[in-house]
Amino acid sequence: MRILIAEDDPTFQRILGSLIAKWGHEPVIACNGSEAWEYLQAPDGPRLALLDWVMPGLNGIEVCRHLRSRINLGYTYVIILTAKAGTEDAIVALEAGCDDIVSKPFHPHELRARINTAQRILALEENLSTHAFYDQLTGLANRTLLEERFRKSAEASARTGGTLAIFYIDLDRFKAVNDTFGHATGDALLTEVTLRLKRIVADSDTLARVGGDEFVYLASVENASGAGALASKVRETIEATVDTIVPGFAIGASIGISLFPRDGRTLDVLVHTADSAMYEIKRRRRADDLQFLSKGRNGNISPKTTATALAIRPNSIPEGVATPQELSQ
Amino acid sequence: MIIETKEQSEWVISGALLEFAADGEFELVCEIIDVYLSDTQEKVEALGKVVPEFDAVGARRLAHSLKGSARQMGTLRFGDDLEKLEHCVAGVNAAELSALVQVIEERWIEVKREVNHTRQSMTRQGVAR
Repeated sequence: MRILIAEDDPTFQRILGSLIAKWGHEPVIACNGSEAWEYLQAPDGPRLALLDWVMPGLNGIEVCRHLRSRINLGYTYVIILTAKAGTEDAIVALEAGCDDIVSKPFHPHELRARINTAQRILALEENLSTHAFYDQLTGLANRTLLEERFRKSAEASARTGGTLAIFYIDLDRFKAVNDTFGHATGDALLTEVTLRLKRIVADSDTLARVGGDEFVYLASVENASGAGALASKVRETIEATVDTIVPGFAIGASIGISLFPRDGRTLDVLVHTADSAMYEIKRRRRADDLQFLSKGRNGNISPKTTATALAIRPNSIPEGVATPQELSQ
Repeated sequence: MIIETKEQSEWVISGALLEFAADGEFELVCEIIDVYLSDTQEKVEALGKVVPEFDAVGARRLAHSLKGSARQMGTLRFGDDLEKLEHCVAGVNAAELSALVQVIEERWIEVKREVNHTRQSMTRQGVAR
């Protein structure tokens, strides 16, 4: 693993760097507290940091306080290396948010044991984080992570004037698959749909599973028309998936769309708008593949080409393809 | 014991260096010694420069930094002298500061000699392998 060494003394830098490399890790050296803070803020920054207490610029304790005050989904384990050996110093360091303290001069075996402890705790944290932020079946983001990603994307879009689209995706007739072929097949279908959708989701966008067969896709788009084109791609991807998992069984996707900032500025409002559009299109069961909908003053959704929300309904079952009822007979 | 040490020796090779030496990484030990010698020489010279300016804060900062690496390398008595300087520098006058720094400068000459001697021993062991 990558381990940050924040140390201004060249002798300690060389000793620590060599030991860490010898133990099979990748040392990342910062010569002062400010440089250490830069490394730790990076999205792929080291998750274990050995911070000297006394350093030029920010000291190790200040770096630790910065780290803990930041809303961060990942956890960085901090070991303070210090010649300050008093109880009061230990209290200051622990209250600043450090996880462990190693006294200087340190013994390599002790440092190694403490790094091993850090790795064990980071593995537990990663496991917890996976459960807290990711859907267990598909590995997709869950609602909590979606909210965090939306917050960041909305901040960036507000700065640049960009548009975000929220797609509320519901698999049509998924219940029939579960009822007819069993939950294992239903799960396999969801996993396959996820794998295929991941291929069309940009790295900067987020696909989340928010219910049994319901997904929310957060994407940066040019405009409503770009969102419509992306929704068509999503639907085609889902329809192609179903055919490989449950041959001869036609399933589609109903997709409601809302746009940030036009239709709302919070995730709750945008998801609600997209969800309403999706349900409306399901209810109407029109033959049109693409239908623009607009939310009126009374909150009802009505057809309109200058839409605030857009929804796509699934293809009708092709001729000759069995319905779930037929398959179950 | 890789390095023969006398009772009054300034330097008992430290755990970190022993770890490398035990694995036959003599070149790395020599490299670390070189880093220590060069950095400490620079800081001891800087310490000498703070005396005429009576820069107590600068002296304390340098003493703290020198103390850490001295103890980590195993130069324990040198580390003790630096700790004394670090702790009493705030309450001394210019003459006392000068005397304290002089102790450090003299001790450094002894430490440097022993560390260099050990470095040569390490080099010989590295060549012998």
